Order: sequence, then C-alpha cells, then structure tokens
Amino acid sequence: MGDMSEEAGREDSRRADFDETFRRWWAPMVRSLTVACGDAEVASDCVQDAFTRAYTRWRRVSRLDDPPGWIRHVAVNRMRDHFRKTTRGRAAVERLDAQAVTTAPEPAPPSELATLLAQLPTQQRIAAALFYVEDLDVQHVAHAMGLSEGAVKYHLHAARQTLRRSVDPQS
Amino acid sequence: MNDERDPLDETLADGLRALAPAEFTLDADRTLGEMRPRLRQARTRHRLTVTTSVLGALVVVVGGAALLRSDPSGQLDVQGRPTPTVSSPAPSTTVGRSTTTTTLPRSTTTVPQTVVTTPPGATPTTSDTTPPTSRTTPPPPSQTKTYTAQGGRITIRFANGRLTLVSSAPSPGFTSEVHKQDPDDVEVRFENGSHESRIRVRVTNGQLRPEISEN
Repeated sequence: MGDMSEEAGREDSRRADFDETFRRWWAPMVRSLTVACGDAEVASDCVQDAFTRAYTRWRRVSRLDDPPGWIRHVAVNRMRDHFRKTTRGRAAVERLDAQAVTTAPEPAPPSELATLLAQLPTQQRIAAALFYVEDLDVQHVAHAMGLSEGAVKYHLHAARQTLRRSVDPQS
Repeated sequence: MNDERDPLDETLADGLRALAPAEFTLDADRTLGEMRPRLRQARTRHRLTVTTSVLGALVVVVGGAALLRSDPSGQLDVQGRPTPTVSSPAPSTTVGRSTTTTTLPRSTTTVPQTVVTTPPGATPTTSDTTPPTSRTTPPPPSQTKTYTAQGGRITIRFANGRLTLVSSAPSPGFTSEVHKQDPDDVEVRFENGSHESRIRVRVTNGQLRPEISEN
C-alpha cells in the first residue's frame, strides 16, 4: 500500500516536471522551428510530436543532462522528415507539369529577409533559426541538429553571408 | 562564426524573430490541455510495446530452454572415453571390469542411457534399422539390434563383422555395468542389489548370438 502511494507520488512529480518543461520550452521551440520551416502549423506538430515522445519515456529523458535539448533534437528530426516528404511531393507535382489555376488571392509580398531565408539550404535555415530566434549557442544548435560544432559554424557563417544582403544589399 | 554576436547578428535576430509567431499567440497551457488525451494514449501504447517486446523475448528464451530440455533420451555422452582394455572375466575381481556405470533413482520416470561411441575402425556399410538412442554417431548402414532384460536393455550395432555397443539403459533402480566390449563379444550386467540381469551378445560364424540371463 505504501509502495503504491509512493509510486503515485513519484508519478505526480514526474508529470509536474514534464508540464513545467513543456510550459518553459514549447513556445520558443515552435517559434524557431516556424522560422526554420516557414509553417507554424508544421512546426507546432513537430514540437508536439517530440514532447509526446518525451512523455512516454519521461522517466529516462528527465534524467538526461539536457532534456529540452533531447526534445529539440527530436523535433528537428521530425521537421527534416517533413522536408523530405514535401520535397518528394513537390517533385512529383512538377513532374506532372500541372499548370494549376490559382484562385486564392496573392499573399502579401514577403520581406526581403524572408525571401533570402527561404533561399537558404535546409541545414543553414535550421541553424540560423535556432541560433537567432531561440538564441541558442553553437553547442546547443549542434546538439539539436546532430552535427558537430564546426559544421554548425560553417552553416551559420554561410547563412549569415546570405542574410546580410537584407541589411546591406551591396555585400 | 562564434557565439559572440555583433550588431549585424542582432539585426538579423530581430528580423528573424519578427517572422516567428508572436509569443502571446502560443498558449502552452491550452496546448498542453489539448494534448493530454494524446499523451495518455501514446504512453499506453509505448508501455504495451515495451511489455510485448519483453514478453516476446521471454517466450523465445523459455521456448529455447524447453526445446533443449525436450531431448527425450537424456543421453549421457561418453564419447572420447577409452574403451575397456582388460578382458578378464573373473567374477571375483572388479579390476578393469567397468567402463561406465549409471545409477538411476527409483523415482525417475525417464530412463537415462549410456551411449558408447563407435570405435574408429567400425565403418558402417548398410542399415536396416536406425539406432533409437544414438545421437553422437550418424545413422550407419549397418545392423542394429536392441535386447531387453529385466534389469535394462542394450543396443548393439553389427557392421563389417564387428560388434559395437551403442547404448545401455538400466531399468529404474538398476545400475548398468559394461562387462565386456570386444569386437565379437559384448556383455552388459544390470544389478539392483537383489537381482542381476546379464545380456551378452557374441558373434559366431558371422551371426549374432544373444544370451540373456536373470539371477
């Protein structure tokens, strides 16, 4: 009986710990991944998937040195999967050479920074989003992307060279 | 590119943050509340998966162990032991008489058997029966026979004029003793303290001559 109540207490404690982590990190992750993928809904789905995975194994994840880092890493992987699927889908549509008639109103012209961001390769876009939007250091960006710090620095440098044209068109 | 940020980095950060959804539009509490059923389902599914995996592994381990134990012969393999070299049949001495003795408890229902391996010289030719208890030698093309007495039974193989003791199995409560194991003469005795059974098989003119005595 005592063991059951102790276990129930630990379960409550774990759940409270998870809730606190969710409240602290969910919005920043959604914001940075939205910039990385350009779609707030996709970003939210990826982050929610990552938190769901963390929840099912929270006893283990909560003991890691950096539980939010683990969750962010899972979310970034989910987003990469999404990129792969959409890229394949887009390629298939292009192969069909379909000239769809657009009836929706033209969206507002994107800012120059958004245009330049959309032109970045995926890795550079993710690195820039995590570094600038979520304000992570290189080490945490590397962990989230599963890359070395050197690789992250390379991607950030390349992204910065492209994005700076929004500030200084002569560069 | 280092962690230090210059004014350009700050400008880029401001511009990129402006592309992200506003903080106030992201309600973590509401989202967490909406996710609760999904979280519970995911955890249940995860636990089910883990439990199934553990049970599956357990079944494999237990099944493998059961298969290993299911060998019905319970044979005692004595392959590699030296064959008897002393042929003195004197009943008053025990020197060199016994090569392998197996004692079977009375409560045991499965009869263990002592398997005697084929001597290197016994090259099998043809077979009309398959040795029921031998697993250490391939089924030889030879003549194999089993003789039963009150104290136990033996199986011998006869090939190329040579006689080979394949196995001896005492009845419950008896002990077996290979008394003689020559190419033309094999004798096994079974004893339980009050009774002795002897099974002797000799080769005479190329024919098997079995003798079974009970005392």
